Amino acid sequence: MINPTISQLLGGVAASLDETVLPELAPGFPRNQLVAAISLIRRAAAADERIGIYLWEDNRDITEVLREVAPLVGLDRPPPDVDAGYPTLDDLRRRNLALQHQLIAIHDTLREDRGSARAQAALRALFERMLARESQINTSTWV
Amino acid sequence: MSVAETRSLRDDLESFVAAQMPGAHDVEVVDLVPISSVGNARQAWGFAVQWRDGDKVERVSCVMLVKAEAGQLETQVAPEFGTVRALWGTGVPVARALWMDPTDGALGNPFFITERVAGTADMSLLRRAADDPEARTIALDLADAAARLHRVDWRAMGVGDILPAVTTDKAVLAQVAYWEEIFERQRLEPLPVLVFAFDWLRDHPPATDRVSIVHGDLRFGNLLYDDGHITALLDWEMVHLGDPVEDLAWAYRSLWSLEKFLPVDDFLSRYCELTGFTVTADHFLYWRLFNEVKHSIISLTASRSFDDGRTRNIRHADRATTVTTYLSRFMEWLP
Repeated sequence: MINPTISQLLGGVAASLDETVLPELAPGFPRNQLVAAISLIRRAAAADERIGIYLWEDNRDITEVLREVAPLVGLDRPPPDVDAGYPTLDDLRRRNLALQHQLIAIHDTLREDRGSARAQAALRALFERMLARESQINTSTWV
Repeated sequence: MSVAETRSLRDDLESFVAAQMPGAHDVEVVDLVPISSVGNARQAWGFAVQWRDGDKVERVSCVMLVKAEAGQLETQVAPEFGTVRALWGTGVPVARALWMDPTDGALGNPFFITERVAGTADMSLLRRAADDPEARTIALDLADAAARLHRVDWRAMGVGDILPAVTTDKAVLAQVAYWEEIFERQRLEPLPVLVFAFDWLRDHPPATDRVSIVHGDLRFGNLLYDDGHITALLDWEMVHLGDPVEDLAWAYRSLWSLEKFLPVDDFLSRYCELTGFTVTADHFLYWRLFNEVKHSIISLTASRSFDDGRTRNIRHADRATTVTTYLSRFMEWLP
């Protein structure tokens, strides 16, 4: 059974709280807490079905750039992103954290060596793509 | 807070205030009420102090800010209070700072008390039409207030003993280092884009030729206004000595910008006319970039406080998501 999805459930919970509980609360801290909770639940509902593909794409993109840039700064090229099986979300998160560390290591090396313009441009373009991907799942109302 | 807790707070506050006024008789704290709309990490209270002076009963209306649980900033009460107190009478619009306890002794948390100032901090003004005359005069007043603040002779006022001293050549990098240190403690993951951003800021500091008192959060929303004029600048939690252009760039961030009432170039012209300073486009851009990073770290601190269970304010829970927008702006504006 696949329905209702987590996104549908969370979206419904947010709507219920918004329509049936929020109107009963007077201005003040409890009401502010509920407003923030509804907003957070809506974001979770929107992001839930996209988080897997977001992480998978992010990992693939970072790996490709690291493989391109590492030899330019005299570092070993990391192995390609080949999974033995279908990755869990936890696998994807762990891989993403590891890649973030590698990215910082390469950036630090580039900065110390005033490395190649090609490598710096590749990293900057990657950062822009990473932020563009993040913006698809981070729909904050606080900006 | 229950009625009993409020009564207990009133009693503790009354004891504290009476101890600050040794010459006054029959000191009383009256009309103690919470002001819910102020701040995230501080609880604001309004009250009045009454005392007898001979046959006369004197009364002063006050506001008290009590540090609450962890939130989006890591700041101390004493530098904020000391600076605001030093600025009283200089022409910078501030509330008169009365008393402070930087310890947990009197009320259980650090706090300070100022005299109440007339005015509102109502943000709905931002939704008014672009030709709204009151909004425009407030924007001009903000330029005036910034000019007054940044020209204050802080050395002569002893503010150098209250805030960490910086030299002109280190003023910019001191702020970069301050926020980077917080970033390294508060981040919940490596965040390579922020690492890159800090390195860029460290590699491209603008030349500055002065150190001023920098409010640190100078913006619409952190000021009281009344009848088209600013009556007080509030929320000095991030006050420091530094490059004054930081404040100008912060005041025009999109979240609270008065741009539609007073374009930023007009704001800067007014400020430069009043101060005699020059603000170049590159210098202003640097602080716009810095401020996107600074606000990112504030957001990360809020998320970390919630994640660690040091605050139960749900507004802080998801604040890290704002970093995406702030850093996207950073990358977009980067030369």
